[in-house]
Amino acid sequence: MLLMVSVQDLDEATEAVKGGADIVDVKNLKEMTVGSNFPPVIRRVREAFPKEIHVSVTLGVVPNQPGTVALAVYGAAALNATSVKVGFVNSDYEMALRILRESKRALEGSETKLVAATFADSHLYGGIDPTLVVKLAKESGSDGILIDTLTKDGRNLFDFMDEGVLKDLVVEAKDLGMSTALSGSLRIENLDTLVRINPDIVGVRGAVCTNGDREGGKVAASAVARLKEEIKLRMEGKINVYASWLKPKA
Amino acid sequence: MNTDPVLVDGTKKNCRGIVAQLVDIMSQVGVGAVVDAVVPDAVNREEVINWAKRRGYTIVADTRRGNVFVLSLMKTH
Repeated sequence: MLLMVSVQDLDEATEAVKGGADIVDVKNLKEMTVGSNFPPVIRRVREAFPKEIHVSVTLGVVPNQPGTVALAVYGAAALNATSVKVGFVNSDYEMALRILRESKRALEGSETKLVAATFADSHLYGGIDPTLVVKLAKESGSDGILIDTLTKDGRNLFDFMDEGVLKDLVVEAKDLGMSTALSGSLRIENLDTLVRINPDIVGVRGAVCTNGDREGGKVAASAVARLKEEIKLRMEGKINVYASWLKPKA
Repeated sequence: MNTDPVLVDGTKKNCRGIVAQLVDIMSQVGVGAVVDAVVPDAVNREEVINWAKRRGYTIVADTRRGNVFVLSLMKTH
């Protein structure tokens, strides 16, 4: 399981990589909780690390404008991003599919991968059913899926979707040859559940920020390293991830 | 005819995990071919075994080599 850390600038990216992050996900919290960053910031981060360190970019929640989104996706490829995430809330299925197909076309000839993203708490915003993400990715030829959350009020992914549903989506996407990522205010205490689901990528920010504060805090290498080690212990079977699952709930 | 097993190395840093890589490889090899999957940890070993069973592939070997596991899968149909 690869560790993806959301960063806002080169300093944070450097901390993340120093702590052992496999992917730095460049975003801009000033433009929504999952907003896009500026091309010079992405370029600086991409140029600072070897290709083995993946640099992903997010387009956040995209507008219902296939041309605009496709051009932004093209920009991500021009910046040599490893992957670009296109997220949907207020798009119906057909519009989301059209946007992803145009985005895929915009990536022709590039190595940048396209990731279709939905939000587990989409219903709070009258948005698209997040479980459609695999169907969307399959029908659009996307390379991977991400399920994230928009709500950043202390609730997280597992407050909105349960383990069984997420596991089924991850298994289905892997069976189709896609990459799978889960994110959404995830913390160390969620690692047992995450390892049972076993997505290819787990995305965090608050869990590795000073004071656990995703907005006011900064990414800290020591927190990244700790999280990475906790994941490793579970993946190697040195911590039994089923112990907490089997424990009767009080 | 080359009968060497095809190798899929799941220990390399790849956004697509070992199962997704195996999906591609198994669709490319012929019936009777053996694919060796190098799996980085216990969780992914379990996942590959479950996936192979679901797909109806035969696990012809399951060995530990240092910190990794090597699963040999035969495409039987």
